[in-house]
Amino acid sequence: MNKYTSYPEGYNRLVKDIIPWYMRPVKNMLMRLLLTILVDG
Amino acid sequence: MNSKEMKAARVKLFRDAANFRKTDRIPHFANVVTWKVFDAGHTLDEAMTNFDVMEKCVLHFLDKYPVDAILDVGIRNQFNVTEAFGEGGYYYYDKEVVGIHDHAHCTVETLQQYMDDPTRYAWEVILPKKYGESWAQKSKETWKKTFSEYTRYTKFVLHMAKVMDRYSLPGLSPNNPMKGAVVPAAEELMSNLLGIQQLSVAMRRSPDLLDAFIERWEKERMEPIYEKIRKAKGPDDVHCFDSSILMLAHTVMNKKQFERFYWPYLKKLLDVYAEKGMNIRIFTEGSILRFAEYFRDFPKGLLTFHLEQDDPFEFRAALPNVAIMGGMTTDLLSNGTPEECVAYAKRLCDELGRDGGFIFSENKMLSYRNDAKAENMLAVCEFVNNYKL
Repeated sequence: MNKYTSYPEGYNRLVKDIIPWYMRPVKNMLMRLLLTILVDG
Repeated sequence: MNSKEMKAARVKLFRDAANFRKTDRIPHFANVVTWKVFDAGHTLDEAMTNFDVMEKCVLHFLDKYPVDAILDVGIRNQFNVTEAFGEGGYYYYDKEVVGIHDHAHCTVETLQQYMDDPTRYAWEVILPKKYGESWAQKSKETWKKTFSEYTRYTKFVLHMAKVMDRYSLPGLSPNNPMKGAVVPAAEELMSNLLGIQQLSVAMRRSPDLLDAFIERWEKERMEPIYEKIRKAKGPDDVHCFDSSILMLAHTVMNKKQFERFYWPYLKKLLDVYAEKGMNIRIFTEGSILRFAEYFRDFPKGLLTFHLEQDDPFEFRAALPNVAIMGGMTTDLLSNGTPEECVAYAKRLCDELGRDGGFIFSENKMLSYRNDAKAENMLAVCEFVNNYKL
């Protein structure tokens, strides 16, 4: 089990780990679209 | 005419046709997806995750075939993202075929749980189930690589939008390219949440649970969309349509089910668009003719049905208030001669488009190598582009 599988703690840690600082203002939109691809794609 | 003026003229051509206004020629919306990869001399595995090859295929198509708009400029699939994440995606491809496995994120009993918090549900239920044991093994590096591919894909989408501008091609509608369209509850149930089998069974065995989900979807997902539409100024001037909706779920419903699970909500959506005088394209997969009676009272201009299997001449007789998109069959494009294809294209334009209300297109999304012969496609594209009514 890795550190990202819990929700919301692991999810929030992942967002912090993978999204560069300059993209953080739109992190919710970015994660929503990324999740859409991973969930539906 | 410069590039911007040409694009504006094409938008006007589509809007005039949708509004049953006479035009000097019929617009051609190319319902072309991955067929262009084969036509450019490549196979799907060479283009799906290589954006340079995909762009080359798109440019090959746009340079060769004169069309007024195109469904896809190589951005429909995000295989580079899902492949970076690892095996387990619903979509698949090989050299010749791209497809999707039927899948279900929920059971009818967990639909409310999904609605309570879709992100939590994705994290705790969908993704662990979809990716199996590997879900818990995803490392920071894998996630970073996936995110990097995701940003690369996003940049490609933006780049191809500029390519479309260069070719003066308007987009189909102002929808999110990742999701495709405004999605009625019945369609989300069929395509993602329950899948074909579970939805079919649930309509008979658990209709009350479906009702509860659809009412909630309506309130939480659709009401904000209605508000957004009502606040809009009216039809936009940069896209062919104000919205594009896909209808597939009606194909597994009888009329009683359609009236309970689909029609009241679709009608509400269409009524809101009608209030604003907007133009809506509905891609009707399968046949829609057996539901024609429901669409008879809408004003001309609101609806354009992109027909997949229905005969366009029969459809015109049944619904003279609905514009038609389509008509050109992949059967003829793949098996006929250029002369036969052009003769049929001429009949479509003459009989369906003289008073507006017709947009030439292919009935199915051209995806496979044998969906059309190149010489037939070229012949009809040149004919429609040059034919004056």
